[in-house]
Amino acid sequence: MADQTLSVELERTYPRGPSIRASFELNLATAQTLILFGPSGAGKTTILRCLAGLDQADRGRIAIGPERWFDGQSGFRLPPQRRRVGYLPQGLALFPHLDVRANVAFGAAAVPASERPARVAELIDLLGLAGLEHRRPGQLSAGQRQRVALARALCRRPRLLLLDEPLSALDTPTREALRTELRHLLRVGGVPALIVTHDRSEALVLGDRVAVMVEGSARQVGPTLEVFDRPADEAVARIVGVETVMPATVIDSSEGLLRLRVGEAELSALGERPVGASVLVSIRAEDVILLGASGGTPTPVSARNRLPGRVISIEPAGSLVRVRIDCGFPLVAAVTRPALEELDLRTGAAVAAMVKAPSVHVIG
Amino acid sequence: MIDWQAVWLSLRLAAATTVVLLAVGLPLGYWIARSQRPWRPLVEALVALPLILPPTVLGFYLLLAMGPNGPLGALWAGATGGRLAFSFEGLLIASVLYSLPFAVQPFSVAFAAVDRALLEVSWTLGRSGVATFARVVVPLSMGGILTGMILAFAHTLGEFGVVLMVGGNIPGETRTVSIAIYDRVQALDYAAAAATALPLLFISFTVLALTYGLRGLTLVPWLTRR
Repeated sequence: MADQTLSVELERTYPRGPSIRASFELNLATAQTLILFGPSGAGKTTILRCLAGLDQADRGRIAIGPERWFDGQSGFRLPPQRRRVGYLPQGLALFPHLDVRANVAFGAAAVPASERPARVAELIDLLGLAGLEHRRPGQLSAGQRQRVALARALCRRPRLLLLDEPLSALDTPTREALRTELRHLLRVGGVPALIVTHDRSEALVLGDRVAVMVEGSARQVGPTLEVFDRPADEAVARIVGVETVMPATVIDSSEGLLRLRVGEAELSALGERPVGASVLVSIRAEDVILLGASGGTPTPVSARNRLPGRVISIEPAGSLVRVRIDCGFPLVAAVTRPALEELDLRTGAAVAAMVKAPSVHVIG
Repeated sequence: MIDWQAVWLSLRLAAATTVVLLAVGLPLGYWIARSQRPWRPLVEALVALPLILPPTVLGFYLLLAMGPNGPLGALWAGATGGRLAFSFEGLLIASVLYSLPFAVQPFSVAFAAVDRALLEVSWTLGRSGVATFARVVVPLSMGGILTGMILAFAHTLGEFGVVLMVGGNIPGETRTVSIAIYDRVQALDYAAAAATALPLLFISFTVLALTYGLRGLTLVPWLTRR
């Protein structure tokens, strides 16, 4: 099989504005999802639009294997019609004057005429739109609109999907439901995707890999969990937040309380999930309370999670100190300097960590 | 007593003007709505000129251009051997220019209101610029296009000054309803003037009433522009 690596090397400067720089690669042969993550104004959407051919960079190169899309040196730019990407802008931009079937069929322009009806029927079936063929976008729910937009984009068999803040316009409950559905649909579609988002839960659920955008440049690129768990520098850490992110399994669920297995430890959290489900848990470092080993008081406390462990490392982080401990899984705690001195913590010392159940965020 | 020949000529002129303005005005309106060129305001001003220019001024310049020694007249004579000034064709050209803003402005207002994201998605789905215009922009601008067509038709039906300057008063060729009425009033034949004015009033009112009733259009959308 030919080289299927999307390589991006871009620079765009705005008069009186910031400059945007990005450099990353994505292997399209193994369907993957790359998240462009960062605060608004970091240049995420510009990069996505450059990939779709709707915006032009000043310098750089975009190519898939040997096929050039953009070359700043020679001024070459493949028009958006010929890039074979599925572009989903913010708000999805469904054609309001066309019904569901016509919206999906609109994407079939590049499909041979004899295959078009079958292709459209196949996608309507694949994305569960049967029965809605004659509705207009205005008569659809948010989830149905998302599925129509995906069907329309998938119709011409794109080699890459580009999604700009796919869930940002939705209210929270809908967003959480559609997040899981979108992940499922992206797997079903089997097409690699590049997703722009500033929502960390979205990044964690949807992304295999993440590129963190800081002030217009892709500062760290790597597997999602790794990046969120081990930010490369302070700037990345500030954006992704200092948190522990770990895969977990639901072992019990009753009355809105979950029991989760995380590494070799167990945690209590709020929520309802089926037993056996695989989820992610994230715990903010500021939410972790450390207890000195000697002060192991038998006094009852309200915090549901009390985890004995050992200090792995201690690093200063501004006015706080970041303490990594091993308590059956690696956990990061942020405490103040006086607290550190009072507890007399040092590497290898025994500690206990306490986390309230509501501070254990269950994602996925 | 009604000058049916003049009524028929006016209707023919208005219909032909509308068709030509559709062909010229749709691309022009789209260009104005989407262009980022620095000279766009100049084109817009040129298109809007007939809105404020006295019809006699426009007619005067057109008469000069269409005369046997004018550039348009010479070109026309070279191509057809005929005369442009004081002919139906000359009148048609004048009407098109005179009614240009009444068609182009509603067109471009409607085009500008079409969400750009829809066009961009269409391009990424493999549709060319022209196909996107035909399948996305035009269907979503139907209200504005219809408004422009009706305004162009109605405005041509009612024009007087330009016709007087470049058309003259040739029955069956350039003698429109408004000229016929003016002619009758000059001759103090008020009964004939009234008889010819009535169908014009009736046609105009019927067309507008039907349009408002059918589509609920706003006929002066550019007043709310920007």
